[in-house]
Amino acid sequence: MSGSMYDLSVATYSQEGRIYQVEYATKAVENSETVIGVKCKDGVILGAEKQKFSRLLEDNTNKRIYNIDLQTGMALCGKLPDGRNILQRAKAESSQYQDMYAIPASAHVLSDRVAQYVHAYTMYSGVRPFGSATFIASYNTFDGYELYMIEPSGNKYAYHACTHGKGRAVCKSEFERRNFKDLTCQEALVYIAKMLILAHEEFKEKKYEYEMTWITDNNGRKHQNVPQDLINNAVQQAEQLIEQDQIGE
Amino acid sequence: MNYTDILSSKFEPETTGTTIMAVIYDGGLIIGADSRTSSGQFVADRCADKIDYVHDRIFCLRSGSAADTQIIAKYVRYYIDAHAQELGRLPAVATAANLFRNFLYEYKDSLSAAIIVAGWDPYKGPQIFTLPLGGSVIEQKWSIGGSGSTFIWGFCDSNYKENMTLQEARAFVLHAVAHAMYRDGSSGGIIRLLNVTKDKIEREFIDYKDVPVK
Repeated sequence: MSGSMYDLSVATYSQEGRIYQVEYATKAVENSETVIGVKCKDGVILGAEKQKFSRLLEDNTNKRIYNIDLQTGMALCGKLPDGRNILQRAKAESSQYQDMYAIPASAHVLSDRVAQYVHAYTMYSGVRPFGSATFIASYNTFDGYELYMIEPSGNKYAYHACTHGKGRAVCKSEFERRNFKDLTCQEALVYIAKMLILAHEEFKEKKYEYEMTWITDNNGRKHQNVPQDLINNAVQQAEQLIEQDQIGE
Repeated sequence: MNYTDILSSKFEPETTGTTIMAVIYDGGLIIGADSRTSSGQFVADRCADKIDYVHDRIFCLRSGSAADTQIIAKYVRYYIDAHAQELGRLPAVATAANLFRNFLYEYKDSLSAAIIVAGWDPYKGPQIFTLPLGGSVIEQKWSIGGSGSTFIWGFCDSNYKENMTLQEARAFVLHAVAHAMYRDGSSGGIIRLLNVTKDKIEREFIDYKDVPVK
């Protein structure tokens, strides 16, 4: 994909009607660590793989999934500093919305605000698009569980299941195979772990950490970290499943 | 605000020296108001409508300066409209109350406005929020306001019951407002009632001849 002269600025269309800078930003996300979001029978789960690229790193820090408010969480995929800027904006939007309207911002409103913010950076030559896709998971009494993904272009869609990053193809095929709507969040953890492990098949020798959060009927419908022991169990079981699959082949 | 300037001029500001009332009953709420807008001793409007539309199931009752309350109600109507469009469903009564409160609090030094926000929403059913002069908010099961309300506290305190039927609540509001109009010089004219439920809004106009206390 050569941009020739039409990829120097985000404010320039190519002759086919493409904006190369936005596509390059999306490439930055596609080459980064995988993030998954899945809606299950009784909740939503967000999962991210984190490569421990140095033994000097502190475990279970350097988070990728954050709270925007009690019942809304955001996962970052792609360039993390870019993602954190979007996160700040989302937190500010959510907080100001609640201040003004006396109700928490529902996911479809919040994701719209975030999408508009991300999109704004694709319109002016003086700035570059965000190299980050963000996932918003939320619960509110009226709309139930919601999951949105916002891409560097500013596109946003509501999903049952979504993924971005290096392992997205693997994850998408797993989404096709398994009906997560029939699984509870507890049951689905294994498959989330499985997808995150498969996502980095080529780099098996490296050490990885898995960050997972959920909002479910069982945890008071708040966005919280999945307890570490549940994650560890899920990872163990997932590794066994992968072995079995490989033996089966 | 320089009061002596206003008093020394021959023109006094238009106020809704008034009687306004809202009561929650089992299934909805009843709103009642008199219809007198006075400019000093001159009755500027003898058939005013003090029950302002904010949204399909949210209304506000205005007392204090007519100019102040009208403009605030206009802003809030606009903000609630935009908010409901984005939300895609009926707004919460608490949202409307919060928007009113922001005005009354931020501009408390310049405004003379006290408002009762009353309505129904699908989240908490019928609700009434009283917003007095300083910009505080209190949620109540029934509320009275305006200059005429001072004369009917005893009547209301003794006659209010929880979980009234529609007929009982209507009679309660009608008689209370009528009693206030009877004794308050700044309240009078006709009585307007509004019944707000989940399914519909019903406006009622009680002509002078039918006002129970005269």
